[in-house]
Amino acid sequence: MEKKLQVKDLAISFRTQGGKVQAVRHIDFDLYKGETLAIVGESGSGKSVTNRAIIGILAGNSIVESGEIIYDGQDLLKIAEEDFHKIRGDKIAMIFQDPMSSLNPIMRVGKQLTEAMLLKSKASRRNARRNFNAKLELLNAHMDQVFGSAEQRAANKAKCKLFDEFCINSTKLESAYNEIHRTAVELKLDIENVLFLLSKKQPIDERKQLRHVIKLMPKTVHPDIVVMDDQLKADLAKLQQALNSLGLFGKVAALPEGCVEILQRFVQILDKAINRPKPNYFTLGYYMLKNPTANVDDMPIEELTAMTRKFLDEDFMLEFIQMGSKAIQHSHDVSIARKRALLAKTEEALEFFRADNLNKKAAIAYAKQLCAQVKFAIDRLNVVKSGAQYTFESGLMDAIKKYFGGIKNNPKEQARFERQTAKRNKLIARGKTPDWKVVPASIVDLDVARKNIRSVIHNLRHDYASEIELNDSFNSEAKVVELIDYLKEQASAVVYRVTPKMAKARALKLLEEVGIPDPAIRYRQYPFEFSGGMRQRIVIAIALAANPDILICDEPTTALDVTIQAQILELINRIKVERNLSVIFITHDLGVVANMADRIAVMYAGKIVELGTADDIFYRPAHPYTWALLSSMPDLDTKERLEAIPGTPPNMIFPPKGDAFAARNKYALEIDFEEQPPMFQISDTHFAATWLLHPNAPQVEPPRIVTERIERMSNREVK
Amino acid sequence: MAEKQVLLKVEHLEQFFRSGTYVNKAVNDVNFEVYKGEVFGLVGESGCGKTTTGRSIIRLYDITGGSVYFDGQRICAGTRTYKQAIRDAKAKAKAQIAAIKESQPADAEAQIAAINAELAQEIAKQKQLIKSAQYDHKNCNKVFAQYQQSLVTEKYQPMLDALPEGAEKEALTKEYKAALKLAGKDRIMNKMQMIFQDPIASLNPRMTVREIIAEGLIIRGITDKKYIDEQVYKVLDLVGLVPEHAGRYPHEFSGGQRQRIGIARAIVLNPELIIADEPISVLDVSIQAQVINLLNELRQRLGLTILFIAHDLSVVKYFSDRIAVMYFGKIVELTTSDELFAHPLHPYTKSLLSAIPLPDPHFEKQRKRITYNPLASHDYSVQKPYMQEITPGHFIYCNDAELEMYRKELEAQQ
Repeated sequence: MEKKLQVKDLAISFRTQGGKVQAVRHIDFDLYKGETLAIVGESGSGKSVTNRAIIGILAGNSIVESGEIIYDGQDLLKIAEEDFHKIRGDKIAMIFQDPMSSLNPIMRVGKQLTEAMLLKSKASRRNARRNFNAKLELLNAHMDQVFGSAEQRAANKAKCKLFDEFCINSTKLESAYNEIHRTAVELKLDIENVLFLLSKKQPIDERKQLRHVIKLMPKTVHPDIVVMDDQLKADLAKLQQALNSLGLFGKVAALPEGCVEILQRFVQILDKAINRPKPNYFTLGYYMLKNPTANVDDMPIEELTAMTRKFLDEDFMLEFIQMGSKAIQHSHDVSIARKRALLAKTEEALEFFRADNLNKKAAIAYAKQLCAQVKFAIDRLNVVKSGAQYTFESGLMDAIKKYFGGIKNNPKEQARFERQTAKRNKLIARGKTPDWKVVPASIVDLDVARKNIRSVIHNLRHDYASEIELNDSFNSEAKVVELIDYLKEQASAVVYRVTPKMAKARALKLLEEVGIPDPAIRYRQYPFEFSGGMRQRIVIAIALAANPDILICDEPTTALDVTIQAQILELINRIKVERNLSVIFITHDLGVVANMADRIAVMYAGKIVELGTADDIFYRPAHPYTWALLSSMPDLDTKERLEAIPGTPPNMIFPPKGDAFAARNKYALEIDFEEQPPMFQISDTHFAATWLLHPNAPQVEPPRIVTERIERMSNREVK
Repeated sequence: MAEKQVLLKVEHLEQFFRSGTYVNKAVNDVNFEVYKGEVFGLVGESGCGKTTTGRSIIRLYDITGGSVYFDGQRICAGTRTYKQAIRDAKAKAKAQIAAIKESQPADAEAQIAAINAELAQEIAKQKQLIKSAQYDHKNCNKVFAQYQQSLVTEKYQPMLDALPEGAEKEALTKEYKAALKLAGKDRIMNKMQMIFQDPIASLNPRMTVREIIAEGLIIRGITDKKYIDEQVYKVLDLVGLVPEHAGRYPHEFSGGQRQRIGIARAIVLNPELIIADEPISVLDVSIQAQVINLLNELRQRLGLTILFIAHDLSVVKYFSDRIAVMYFGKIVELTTSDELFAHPLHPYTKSLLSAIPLPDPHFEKQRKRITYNPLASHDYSVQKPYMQEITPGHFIYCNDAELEMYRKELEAQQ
């Protein structure tokens, strides 16, 4: 599976008056495409901090001690704020815990919903166009290098131009079709709803509904969806007549005769239209471009698709793919040759950074030069951005900065620490008890910092070596398909535009989707006019409005009640499947997680103590903290006294020496107070950090309440 | 089984909020009884009026209609139903008179006079009811204090009469007077206390824990500092805190400890009924368990009755004896907690139960959530629904046709 996000060795602390609070202590995890990763833990366990780091909104007093967060070939901890603007909210969206503080109190809800859509639409269209052009030009350039002659070059250029033209054209057609198709689906639901209410003899505003149908029905007319024939025209006229007879004001009379039948007919028409297979617009677009006068409306869809596909392949595509694959092969070969040369060069660099007396200026100049070369060696025609080469520059520069920062600041910090200690000792010697503590010195270990510089280069070398090794299995045909898919995706982003009207329609749709009744009224209200649950739904709607890649949910349902919670979880699940989202779900409620999560990470005191699939965590929990969490919540069959976890989490300014959970742990071993347990691997997917898993540890059974529950659960399955 | 003593009785409770011309019927005709020593759960989704019910009972709001009885005494009463009755009677009389004038019978005058007389009688009757409701609502504490004073007098008077004149009698008289004064400040509302949802917002950040807990005692009229301290330390001990905590401020405590302070404040006046308004929903899971265990212990040690308002059904199931399910200001089902979870009958209850998340991935993935659509589930065009008892102790809000249906369903289940 594709890794969407990688968190490596992340450590974050906060500078406070009492000293550094170690909020996150060296955690690693990956987020795969289309999966839900749940992070479970008590408040203060660092789960929110981790995710704030991912979205780049850490508080001002935070220090990133070490680590990388890699998304789309970028290290999110090191990129500039301007670059983050393009990712935050757009690619990675977040639903916050407290809906009141994450909504603007003086803006209407509708404005808040559509604001980002409208702003983003323009920017992302421009962006997509830029990406599209850049890739196509690059492809063209490589084609030129492969096929040298002058007329060939002109042909290449023409081919690329044609591809550009028809790609955009096709997506335009498709986008129009999708829009109308969506309207048809919505209208069908609306009419069905009206019919349902009428059949139940419930009061409805007939005038409003009729007006709605008359307005929307003509908008579903499209050669591939609904055809405007005489019957339809007559029906619409009849409805209009009925509407006129109802009058504008006053009491709503009953619906005139025949209207229900017309509405039922409409449902049938729409139903048929919706279930028709969708034509392949990519091929159809090319066909229409070449034969603008052709009439294809009456053709069956399958036949049409086959015909246009054949036409496209023979006329253009096969040749284009062949040329493209050659160009990609060429680009790859060039890149590999450069990487081979760089392998030797990096050897030198390792030596350079091993030298004892590094000069700051020289080191930075050298690093910049090296980074430029690494950048130059990247195969730009490769669509998937992964590996150390993309994060090399930010990583190396950061490591160097840290090292020289340490050289500069260490003596100062040491001096301060000594001064304060001396002062405190003096006060104590005088018989006073100072009510302040000495803030521990935060000193950069220069050896480690130096090692970090070299490890960045090592990582790059490792990546290069494995890439060169895999050179033989490079499949340029597959890559060209990948590239064309990428271009198609960008083209659809170019075509997809949001007008204020559309934004409003979408916002209303979203409001309805997240379960807000009367969206049209609610759209114009201020956040304070909503109840807590409603406010949270609006926050979710705003997060989804931008169509993100990764959705981070920070306890989105904690303040909501069960039915709403279930609805919101279902909503997130559905959207996840529809849009192939990756979700990070933070919560302290394990019950919520069971439904949502593919994998679960249990955090305690800034560390991941157990990581596994949902089944692993619920049916085979291994860490005492997970046991405690499971046993402290009642389920429907619990009768006995709950086993609460005694005490409170440790103070993270002075984290305990051994396992942080040892002091609250009934099953703590002696070694737990001495040394931190490493991650033990239990199965392919299941890891836990507890000494109980060590081969020499005594055998310990989980608490009775947990084992009984697991047994009950397995019995339930049998039923 | 001995007859259970009714501690709290809520009759036709109505709480409306007016915003402009729009009237929000937050609580609409709610009836229930809470027996002494039980935990009564009130569940429903947000906005269904469960918190408003709790707050109306403890008189944080003046109720619109209905009455609440505590230990047999009416503590709050609304007048809307009576006023509505007057309005209805007037309208009815007007219609009747109009009908008479239309048909012009021979004894029109006499008939109209009879109707007017009847109307006047009705109005007088309702006005009497309004008056008594207003009196009870305003003076419940006074009545209670007078009753307490009479108890004190009853206790001291024979002793005083028996004693001869002298220093001993003087001392006893003094004691009697002090007790009388204290009893005069006693209120029936002290017998009811509330635990709020948010322990951060409900504790005054400028008061120490001692001040927060002692505030109730001071308002109650106790001036003995030593006694107050004793009481504060006693309740701190009861809720699992230590006396050293008394001098600290709320911000120095963790969420669970703050909620314990809230509980300590509630129990310091020896209440009989605690209204716990979602006391655990903002706490962490591990702390939730601590607080539930604490409430359970207190309930057994102090014999408390608890009205437990929550939306977490698994907690309510674990903690409550009887549960009432609320939907849009009305109670739709009321029964013991085991019965409710074993045989839910009302479609809303079913949908609520089907939404409970369970810590079991396999079960969760197959789970079908039932959605409740009041328009589709009920047909009230023929007969309006009302509270009916389907089996002993199991009440459900439905009309006769539905009752038959539910009864059949219940039989099929058994």
